[in-house]
Amino acid sequence: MSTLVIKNLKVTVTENEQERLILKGVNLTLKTGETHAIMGPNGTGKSTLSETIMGNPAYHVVSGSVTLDGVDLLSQTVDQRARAGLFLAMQYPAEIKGVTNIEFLRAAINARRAKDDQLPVTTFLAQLDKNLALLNMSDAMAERYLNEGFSGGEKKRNGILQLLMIRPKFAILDEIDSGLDIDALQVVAKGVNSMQGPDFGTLMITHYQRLLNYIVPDFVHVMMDGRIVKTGGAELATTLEAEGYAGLRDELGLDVALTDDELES
Amino acid sequence: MDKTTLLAAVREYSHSQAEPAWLLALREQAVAVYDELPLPKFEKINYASWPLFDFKVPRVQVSAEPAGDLGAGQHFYSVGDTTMQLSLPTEAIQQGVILSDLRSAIRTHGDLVQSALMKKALQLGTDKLTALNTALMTNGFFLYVPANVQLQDPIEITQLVDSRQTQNFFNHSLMLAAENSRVQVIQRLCSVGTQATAVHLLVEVVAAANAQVDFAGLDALGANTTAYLNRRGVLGTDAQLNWELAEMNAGDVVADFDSELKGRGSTAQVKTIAIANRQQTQGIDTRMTNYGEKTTAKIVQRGIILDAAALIFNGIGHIVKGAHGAKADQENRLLMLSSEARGDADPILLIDENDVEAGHAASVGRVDERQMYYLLSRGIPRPEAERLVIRGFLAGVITELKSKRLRTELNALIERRLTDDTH
Repeated sequence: MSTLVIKNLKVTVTENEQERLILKGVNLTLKTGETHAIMGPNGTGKSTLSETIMGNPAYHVVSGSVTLDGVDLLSQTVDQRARAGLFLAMQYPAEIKGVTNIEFLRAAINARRAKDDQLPVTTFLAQLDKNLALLNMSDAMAERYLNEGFSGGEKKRNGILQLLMIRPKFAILDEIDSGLDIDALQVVAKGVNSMQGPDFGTLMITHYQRLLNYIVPDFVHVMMDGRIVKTGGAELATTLEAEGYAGLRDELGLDVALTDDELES
Repeated sequence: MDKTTLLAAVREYSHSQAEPAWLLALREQAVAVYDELPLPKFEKINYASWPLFDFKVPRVQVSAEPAGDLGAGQHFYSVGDTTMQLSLPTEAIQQGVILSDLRSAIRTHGDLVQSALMKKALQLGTDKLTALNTALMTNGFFLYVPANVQLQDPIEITQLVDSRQTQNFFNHSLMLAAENSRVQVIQRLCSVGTQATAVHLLVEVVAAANAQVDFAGLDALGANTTAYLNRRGVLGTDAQLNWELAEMNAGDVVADFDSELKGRGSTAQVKTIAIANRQQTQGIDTRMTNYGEKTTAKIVQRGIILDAAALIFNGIGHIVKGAHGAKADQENRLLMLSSEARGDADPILLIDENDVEAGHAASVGRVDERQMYYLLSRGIPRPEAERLVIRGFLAGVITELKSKRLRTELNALIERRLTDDTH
């Protein structure tokens, strides 16, 4: 079993040459075998948390720690963190023309293996075929350039394909439900669920309870204004769906402006 | 070397080769204009101080064959001035195709050589370096494809610059594709040895009416060479000339790749890939001039710059008065992988006619950090991720190459350049 521990994490981003504090002290512990969901209104730092764990250079850690099985991750480079077992399904993955999905996947898998123990092509292709079928993806998708010209839904599916091929210890899924119709959502959920087991942990980030009908979480955390303000079981998501974030904010007596309030005012 | 000494040396060499009078006259004329002519102009490159002029008097030099069977499978294989290997498929010989070195062609096919050498594609009087080559050239290849002959397989040519000894390398090649002929040529240029060498290479390609020529040039000269490369094609009516050029040299290079679209309805295309690393400078002028009506010219260039190297693409599209309905399009893109790298991609359009189409795109950029982050986030180490991004960047040209074998060969060359020991 592996454990990912986030302790009192404070993170800034640079906006108009000013550092703005986004995460104001996040504490979270994930274990393999568990499925967590972080919900919260827009602009509360959910994506900041996932990008910071992965090591996106746009986010600056002010204080706090992130460790995987006791080993500090914050001092590691992005690729080292990935090889240590982290995976982030990004909200807006880059497009890379000229690099096919296949060569990208092989490079990613072989980066985790010794130079003299690279994955045989036949084994690789067998795994690829199986996972493409699971995700209702065509063989042609594998030959296409990485995310280039992919629709939003195809990019999400492609992210899950990578997850299934790479098989990390922890997957952070940043809004994999956004822009998906119900059929696509079911396919994506099927892919994630196929990974479930004692050696795999998930952290889902979402606005909507809908995703959690398909990937059922053990824990739901609510994030507001850069902090996790409430943690509960799957039922917390249902409550939120009924009462909204404003209801929870008022119940907790938080002085937090919600983006949607601003839009309305 | 002063003019008198040069002239005497050129005469002596020409006599020693028993060259015909017309050739000696051409050489003498070249010596006469050499002094007055300007250096060819390469925007943003100052190469006047490069050791391109460290030449000796021309003489017959013999090279030994290097180990390693480098000419395997080649129709034409030369080391320095020495022709090591010469062959043609029987079918080609039966149809009258001629492949030889320039030295023998002057003797055995003098009329053909005389009809075109420095007459059709290149001419004396344009610049100093072309004149110098004409005065001092000692060898090269000569290829003639008669009218209506269509060759299926490429003619493969490998030329090694012999840097195991101090010697001049003034090489001049001539290729004539007669009416309705079709031919593919692959010219590979490399070097052996580590002596400092100045390389002067001229290639003239004459594509007559309705001829179709695919010319690939893979240049991989060593770090010790300083080179002036000039490949120029001239196109007759409805002729097609398709250049595929890879500049994988390790030393300083200025290169002129020009096409003269003289014949109505002719089409020329050039696809170039270049990689510059370390302290190297490579400057590439690619010019297409539309003279004829309804001519189509297209330039696509991609370059990678590492370390403290400089790479300059000047793309020149010139549509002259009278070239009604001509098209000239170009795209020059450079990717810089270090903060010390210097790159310029300059499109220069000179349009002297109204009813024409001309377009250009140029960019000089750094590696997209979003792409890098994405690749790194999947566990791919930075150097390999960079190579993937580079490969993607070059793919626009590589995937366009007609020959799969050439694509594979080029990918291997690129990989070797990018993993060049300091990286």
